[in-house]
Amino acid sequence: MRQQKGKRKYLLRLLVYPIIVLLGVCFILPIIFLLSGSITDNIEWQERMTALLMDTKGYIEWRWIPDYPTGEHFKRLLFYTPAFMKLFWNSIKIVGLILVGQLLVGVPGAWGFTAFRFRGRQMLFTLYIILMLLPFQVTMLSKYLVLKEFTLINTHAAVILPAVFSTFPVFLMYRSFTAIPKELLEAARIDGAGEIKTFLFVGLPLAQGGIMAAMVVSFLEAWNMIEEPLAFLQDKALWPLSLYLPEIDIAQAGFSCAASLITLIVSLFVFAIFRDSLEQGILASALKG
Amino acid sequence: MSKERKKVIYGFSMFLAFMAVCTLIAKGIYTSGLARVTMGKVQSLNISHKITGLGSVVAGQEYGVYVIEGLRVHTIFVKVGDSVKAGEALFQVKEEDLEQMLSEKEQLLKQIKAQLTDYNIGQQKEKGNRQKQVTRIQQDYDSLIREQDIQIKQRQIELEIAKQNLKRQEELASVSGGNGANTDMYQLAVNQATIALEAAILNKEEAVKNWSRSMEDAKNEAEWNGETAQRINLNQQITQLEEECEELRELRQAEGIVYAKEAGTIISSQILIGERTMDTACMLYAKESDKVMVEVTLTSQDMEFISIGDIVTLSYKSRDGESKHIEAPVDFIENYQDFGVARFLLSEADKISIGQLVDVEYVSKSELYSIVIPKYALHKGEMGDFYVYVVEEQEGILGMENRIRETMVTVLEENYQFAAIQSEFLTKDSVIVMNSNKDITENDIVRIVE
Repeated sequence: MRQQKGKRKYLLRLLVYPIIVLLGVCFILPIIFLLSGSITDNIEWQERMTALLMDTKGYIEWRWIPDYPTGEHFKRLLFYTPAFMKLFWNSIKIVGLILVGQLLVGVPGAWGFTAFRFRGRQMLFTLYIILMLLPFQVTMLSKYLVLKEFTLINTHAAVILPAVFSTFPVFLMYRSFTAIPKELLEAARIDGAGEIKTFLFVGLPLAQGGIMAAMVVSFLEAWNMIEEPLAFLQDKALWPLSLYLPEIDIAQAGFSCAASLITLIVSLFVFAIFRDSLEQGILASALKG
Repeated sequence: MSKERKKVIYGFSMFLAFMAVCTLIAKGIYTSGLARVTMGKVQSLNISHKITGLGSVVAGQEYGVYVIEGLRVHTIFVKVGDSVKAGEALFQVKEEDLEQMLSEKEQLLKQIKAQLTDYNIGQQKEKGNRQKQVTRIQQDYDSLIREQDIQIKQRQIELEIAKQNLKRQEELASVSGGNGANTDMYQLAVNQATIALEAAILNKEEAVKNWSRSMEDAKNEAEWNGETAQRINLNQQITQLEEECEELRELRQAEGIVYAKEAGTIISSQILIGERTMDTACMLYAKESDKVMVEVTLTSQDMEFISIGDIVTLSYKSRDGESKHIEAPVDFIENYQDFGVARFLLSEADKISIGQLVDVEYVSKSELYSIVIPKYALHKGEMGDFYVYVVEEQEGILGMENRIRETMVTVLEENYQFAAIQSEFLTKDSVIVMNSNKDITENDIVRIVE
């Protein structure tokens, strides 16, 4: 019986693993394409992608390893394109402030929904969920009018503040806080811990995974946001890096690939740093859910 | 925190540090690549044109020393620039040539005089013939008039007879009471006779008119006692030869030496020893008593700014060795295709000598222009149009950028230093690019340095 089970498991793995590997390759292919493209020089790009770049009839020909690899695009991007750097630091600034803001506003908000029972709580939380479900296009006008009223249009605050008060991370963190056993919180209170101490020393450490997961998701959202800065920032000097990439001409495909890779590196680092927390947070939320 | 996470955080920090360094380098490279421009406000100025030139002193009026053409020069006693006194020897011609030429001219004079005598005799004979012609015409006229008078007389008689016949016929008709047909016939005869008489009178008048013309011409011809072209020519030749002979005799008497008639300065010599004199002046000199002129050649561009009456400054060393700066008006101007000549009259009091070099300087000032820029801030396009660079602040990815804009202008006036310009985009408060450490073009981003 046990042998049969083992055999079945082995067969299942034989079937599933190739599918997983295939899917993995499919997911990683764009990154390999970026890597390859970023070290392909412009002449080779033109030779291979004429049909695509020049919009003429014919076939594109792609080689994963270029005939004449070059670091020219990275050199140009890192040392001769101050605009890219400017937008990179804009992105760092915007994302950093959004995350800090969400930690300061969203975490206590989520804790509030978890720890306190007050009138209208359910209704407020439902409103939170509804707001979370609304796409940006729906709230754009109202956001614009409010920001204009506060003369925040064309400032980084126009992008940062709406994100700070975003409902999605609150929802995510709320799920983490609700995973904390109530008995534990009550025990802390019985031991004499006030609401703040309970939040700081019990709630936060136990929901750390969920908070981190929410932060990682928020980071990815903020790092890749396009609509908000495009709608609220008129000066190109204020734009984040996500808007720089569409500015690159298709004829500069190699340069574009290099820029995309550099943009991707930050996300990779964030993911690598918070991978465990992200997994734990999602798991905790899922378990509770 | 796991070791692995620490490593990743460290790697992320390194990445951010690397990006920070790259940012500094990229900005540094970008900034160092920008052209550095200095800005300046346009000015309200007069455009002044400083004209300078090196002039020379020339004679105010030139006089020529002439001798008869063809004499061979033996000695020249003076050179250009020499001051000579009245009676001073200028040059000497060969006496043998002089003698030979004199005898040739005297011989020629004799021949021409003989020709004139022959011509006069011929003319006298001609005159006699013409007088005879007049007499003949007069005789012809007399006989013609007589003939015409007879004709008229005859017609008058015929008319008288016709009238008498008509009258008699009319009387007969009134007495006999006959018909009028016969009377008409006589009346017709009277009319015909009248016409014939009138025709005779007209013939005479025509003959008299024709004769008068012929007579007048003949008389004019006969009575004409004026000079003919030939005679005038001969007389002129004689006069000229006589003058030349006289001059040659005087020269022979002076042993072939030509003397200065008045004190002055030799300004040009057209003769050389051993060569023959020409029909032009052998030497040119300026009288001491006359004014001298400073003559300066200027470019046609400079000539646009100078006109008669403008006061120029002349700097030179006087005959005493003293440096002098005097102001003199422009007296004459001559414009040629590529250059021009300006002349200024000077007096003896200016103590300046012919041939001396003079520094000429003139500064002309234009009207006050509201937009004047240094010449180096003005640029010329390929089509010959002019433009200046202005800087426009523009929002770019790197923040506010100074972008170069070409502004077309019209040049109203310019000198070597400034240009007065006009443009609808510029005012007297406009600020333009004055200098740049690199070549700049439209849309270039530049760095403004104070």
